[in-house]
Amino acid sequence: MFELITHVGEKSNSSLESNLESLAQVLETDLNTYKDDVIKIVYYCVSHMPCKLTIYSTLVGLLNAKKYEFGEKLLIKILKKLEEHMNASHFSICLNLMTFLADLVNTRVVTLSSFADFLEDLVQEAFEDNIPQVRSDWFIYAILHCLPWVGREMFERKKDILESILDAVEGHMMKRNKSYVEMLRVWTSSIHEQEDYLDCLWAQIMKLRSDDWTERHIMRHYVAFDGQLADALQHNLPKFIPTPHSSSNVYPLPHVVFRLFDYADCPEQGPLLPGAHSIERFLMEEEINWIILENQGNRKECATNLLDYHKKSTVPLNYVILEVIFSQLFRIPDSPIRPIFYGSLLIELCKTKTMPQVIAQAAELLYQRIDTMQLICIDRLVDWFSYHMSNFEYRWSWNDWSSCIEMDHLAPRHIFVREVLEKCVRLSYRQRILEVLPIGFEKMVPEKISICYDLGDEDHPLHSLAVEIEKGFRGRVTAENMIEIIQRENDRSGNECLIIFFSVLLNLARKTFSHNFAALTKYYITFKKLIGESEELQLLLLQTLYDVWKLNHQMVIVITTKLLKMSVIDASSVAAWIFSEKMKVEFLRMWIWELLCIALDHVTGELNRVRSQIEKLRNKMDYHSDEQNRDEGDFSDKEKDEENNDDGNIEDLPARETEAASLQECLKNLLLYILHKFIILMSEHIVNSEMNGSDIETSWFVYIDGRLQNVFQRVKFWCIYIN
Amino acid sequence: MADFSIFFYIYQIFKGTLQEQEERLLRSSTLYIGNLSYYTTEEQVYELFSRAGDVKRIIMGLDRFKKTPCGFCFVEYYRREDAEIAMKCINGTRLDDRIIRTDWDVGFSEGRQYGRGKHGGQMLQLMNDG
Repeated sequence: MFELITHVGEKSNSSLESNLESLAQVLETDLNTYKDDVIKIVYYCVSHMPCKLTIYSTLVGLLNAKKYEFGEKLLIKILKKLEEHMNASHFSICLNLMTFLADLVNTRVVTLSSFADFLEDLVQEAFEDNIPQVRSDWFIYAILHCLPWVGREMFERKKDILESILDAVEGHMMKRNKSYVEMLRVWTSSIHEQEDYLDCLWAQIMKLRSDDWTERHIMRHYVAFDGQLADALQHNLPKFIPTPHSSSNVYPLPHVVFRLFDYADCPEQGPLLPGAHSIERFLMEEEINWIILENQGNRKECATNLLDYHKKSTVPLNYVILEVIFSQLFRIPDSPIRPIFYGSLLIELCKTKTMPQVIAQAAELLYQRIDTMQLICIDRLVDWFSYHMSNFEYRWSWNDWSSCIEMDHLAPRHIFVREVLEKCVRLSYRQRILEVLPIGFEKMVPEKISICYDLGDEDHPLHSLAVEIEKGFRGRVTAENMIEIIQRENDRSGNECLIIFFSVLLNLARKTFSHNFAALTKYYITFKKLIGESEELQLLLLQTLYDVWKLNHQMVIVITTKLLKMSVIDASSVAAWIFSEKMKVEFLRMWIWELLCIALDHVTGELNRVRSQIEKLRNKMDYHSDEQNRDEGDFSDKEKDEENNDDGNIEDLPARETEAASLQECLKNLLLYILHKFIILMSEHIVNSEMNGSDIETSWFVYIDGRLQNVFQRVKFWCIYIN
Repeated sequence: MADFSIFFYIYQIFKGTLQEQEERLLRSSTLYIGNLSYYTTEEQVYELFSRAGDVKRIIMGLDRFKKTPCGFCFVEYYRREDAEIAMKCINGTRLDDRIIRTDWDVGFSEGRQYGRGKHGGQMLQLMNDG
């Protein structure tokens, strides 16, 4: 039965209508026996397959027409689930369920008047006092999202209510705080409008309204069953009261609508791309978004389902797919799925005949518009494009981009190409990349990797200690013995000892990352002894690492990351080093910001891990309270008990909570430090510009401003203020 | 054929019951990576696989006699979910223009970095030579 219901609507020799009719007949036969199962399956399908929503609303309509009780039970189930998902902050599923309820009006399951009341209740909820804007926004979004399905019906039979709902929404739209829009736009300016998502949906609904609520996207299968549905007894929706806002609710973040293409970019022969403010564009993009999110576990299935999109003959499908993929990849602050998934999905899509040229066209458009692209998006574009190149033998019409070579080193096109080539070299090797590039590009490729080690020079003042330490390493002395060797040299400062020790280690371990990791692990105690709790020495350690490996950014990143994870250095030291005078020379390179983000992620990752442990311990505590009431003979819980033990003991809870508070403080201080540094940098620039009467918005300033936003976009720190 | 040989490989190397192996695979954060070019470096593997998450360590597979890379390695992540992303997104894509293959692995242990073919390389290669 599950297969029958979940697969209806897929490819078939019969028409969908006749399949629905047959399925309804099969189910009707024994609906008394199976109605609970059918309801469960329909609920599952509607939650997870919104593209097939009208198929299931039609099916439910047919079943309800035959058995009133079925429809009644289904509605109770849907509303109960709606409440559960709302409590759990599963808002995308809530949206699907609400839209399904709207469409059940069209299939004569739900009375229009009760659904109108439902919408009015949502309006009421949206305008509660003292709730976060993101909560109001979500209810408005849900209301507007239902209207393409049910708007026509309301327009014809409940016009007054429809108008009053729209008036209320319009009032809300006028008052919304949209200060975040600038930070969420992919481009600071663009030939395509980049709108706040609610503004865009509102404009789309207004156009739908001016078209008398007639749209050409939704497949209304139930029209074929008008005769059967006309006599159905309808149900009033039970009163639905959303759970009040609580601090544990997590609402979807606002976003800005991404636009890459318009109809002029698509082939002249072939379907037209619906306009940006058409409801068709919105509905289509919603569905493509869903296909990607639902298939993120399997990129081949994802590609197949995208290319099989049921509206593929009415839109330029390749362009729509690409626009949606890039809208997710460039979503600020975070893409909904790990960026590498989009890279592998696009590689999969390149296995078709026509998609490769559209991807190339998109890459070219993105390059042309990169001058105003936000830095966080440029970073993702660099990572995507270099990964893509590595799967296609690095073949590209690089010559078309040769004009960027002579541009200012802070021009976005120059940055992009330089950083792409650095990533390509990391995925490959320098000579290989040089071979595929036209003449003139070699200055954009990183210098040949080499280590900067001069302690081997007999004339170096620190040579003798370096020799002793090197003997120690080669002799495989223990970490403790190494400390003794170093401390023998009483005339060397602590600083010098640390520099020499680390430089020699890096030189001897230079062959691979693994050699470095093994050495760091073996001599962990030596590092701890030499550094102690000194932030100054941590900074010195990082500077030494850079001095030795300044021509190999990947090595600096990887070893710094390792030192962080080993707790030899702190994230705060990484930040201090990045903003230090000595690192000005690298301050504008992408790898520096990669590293700062790694340091931030390290702290937030630790904090999330500890919070997760706390949650498990609290659940365990609750579980043990219930344990008193359990039968002693219940063997099925033995495995669960053993599993719970893996999460640690309940007695650990206070220590974990202390740790979480400490990490929270570290993160706060780290962010304040970074913010402080940015303020100083930018203030100095502004003051100097005003004194000199020169432009403030130089390329340097634009870059630094982008990096400041980058940091806070990444940690979603700003989200706190929108609540 | 390749799948069978991998299974055989795992079975031969790792002591323990089939069920124990399956349980360890379900919790593992370690991947076996096959079909690498002999010239692919640890640094390249690191760059590619760190796009799925934090890599804890990489162990390059070596020819047992020559101690040179022979086309496979192990990648261990700090977190299982990052290894899952690598399985979904990197398996079957290219590194050094070769389509690489990833499989769950029960976890590295000393000795497993050496190829077990008669000539020191991979058994898979030996089969190909025949």
